[in-house]
Amino acid sequence: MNVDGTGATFREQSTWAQLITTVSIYGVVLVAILMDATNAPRTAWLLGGGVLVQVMALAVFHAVIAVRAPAEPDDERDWAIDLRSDRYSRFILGTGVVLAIGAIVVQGILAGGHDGGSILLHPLLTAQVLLLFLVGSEVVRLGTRAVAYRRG
Amino acid sequence: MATAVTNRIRHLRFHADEMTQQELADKIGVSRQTVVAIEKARYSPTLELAFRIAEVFDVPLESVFRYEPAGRTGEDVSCTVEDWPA
Repeated sequence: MNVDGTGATFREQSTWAQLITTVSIYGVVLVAILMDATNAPRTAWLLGGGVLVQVMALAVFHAVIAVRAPAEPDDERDWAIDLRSDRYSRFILGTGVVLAIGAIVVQGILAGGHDGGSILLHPLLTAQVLLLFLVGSEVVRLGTRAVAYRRG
Repeated sequence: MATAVTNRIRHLRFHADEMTQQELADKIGVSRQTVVAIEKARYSPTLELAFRIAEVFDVPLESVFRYEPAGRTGEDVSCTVEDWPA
């Protein structure tokens, strides 16, 4: 039962918390990574740090949300909203995967079947393209879910 | 956006000893927010949930829900919900 007076369930408030933390934390992580795009150890630390900070932030958010609106079991509307938001996010993620595959294939062609070592086709850049689209697909998934909860 | 499925849930709740949305939600196993969305014709429930709602009020399904495509009546379906005869 919702008790916080906003009419928003635990699940809706959780969606907003995930959206806010994903945009703010991974926005900073992505910009920081791209400032030194070919530095693998730095990328690993930034990614690991991003995950850790988000886990901690979500734990705090969910503790607060649980007090305001205790969690309820998912119902059929939650599942319908999930299906709709997953459909949009899958498209974004799929686009990123296709682009990454394309980049790898182009790299192979340009290198003549050998490791070309071009800065534009650095393996880390492929990972960053995938990361960008992964974060993008999550933002789209959470954003469409948040809108769906408000609109019905 | 309203769906083509309109309903009389608010009317039926009123005549069921002024049942609250939360009470109805608890009886049919969904959140109050889902009941609100169904009442406002923003969400069409599955057949199973529709039957559960009708069962709570002890009326046939067609006394709770009605399919009114806008093209058939030429009206905004969201405006017809409260206009059903009792």
